[in-house]
Amino acid sequence: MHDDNRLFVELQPPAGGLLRLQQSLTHPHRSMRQRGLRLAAGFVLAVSVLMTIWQLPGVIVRQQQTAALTSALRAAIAPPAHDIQLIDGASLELPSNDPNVRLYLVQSAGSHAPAENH
Amino acid sequence: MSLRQDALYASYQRLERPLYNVLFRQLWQAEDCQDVIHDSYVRVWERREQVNEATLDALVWTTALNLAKNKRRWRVLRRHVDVDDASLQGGTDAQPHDFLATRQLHEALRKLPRASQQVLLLSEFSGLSGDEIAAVLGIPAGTVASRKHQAMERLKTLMGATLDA
Repeated sequence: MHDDNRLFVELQPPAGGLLRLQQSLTHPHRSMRQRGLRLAAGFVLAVSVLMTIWQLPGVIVRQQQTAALTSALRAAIAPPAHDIQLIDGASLELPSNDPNVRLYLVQSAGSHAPAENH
Repeated sequence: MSLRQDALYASYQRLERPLYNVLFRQLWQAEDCQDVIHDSYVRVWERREQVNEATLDALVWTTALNLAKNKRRWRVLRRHVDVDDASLQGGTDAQPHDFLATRQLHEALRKLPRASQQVLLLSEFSGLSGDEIAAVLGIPAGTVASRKHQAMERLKTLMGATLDA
């Protein structure tokens, strides 16, 4: 095969390969320590990922519950309408069967002072 | 049956160059080839209690080819560009005029089936007999000769096409 082609040029490997192997075999503790460190790092990473995966659904549910509660509270303390101003209190619009009638449950904050309507 | 350190080093000195030449035509990165050769010998040494010195070279060949295969799979997963112009220079003594031929050879070798490619490279560089190559690759001895012939013909055709292009 060698005589009919010059396709395969014989390459010379880079120097130092044998020395590197000798060092690896004569100082196995170094590679063992590196391997140990890699294993430890991998273990920590795997545990972190598993903990994240395990905790994630609970965190999401808690966030959803918090968001729902926050929006409900905001709705509860929001001003009832543009033509009604509520000072130092909160109101909640109640369902009304008559479109011309709006019902509000009004609660003053702290004192029993009545709400002021405009 | 236990492998001696001097036997391992002797094997390294014997096989480093052929291993490098075969692996370079598969990985096309000098540093990767060095790593694969080194790691192969380290792995063999780690199993030295079970290694028979009579079959040491074949074991090293099998280990190195498997590691090279794993490295190619990693490259596919990482979408690694398996060759660049600098690495095509090959070894430390590669001449500039070899660059074009190496590039053409790379293109042609990539188009060969992997099994044929390995038979061709081992036949060219390993110094192993047909039976030994068959043992290393885990194929019937008769298949080696036929694959080698087919691979060489295909390679010549591809190289001709590359040169014409």
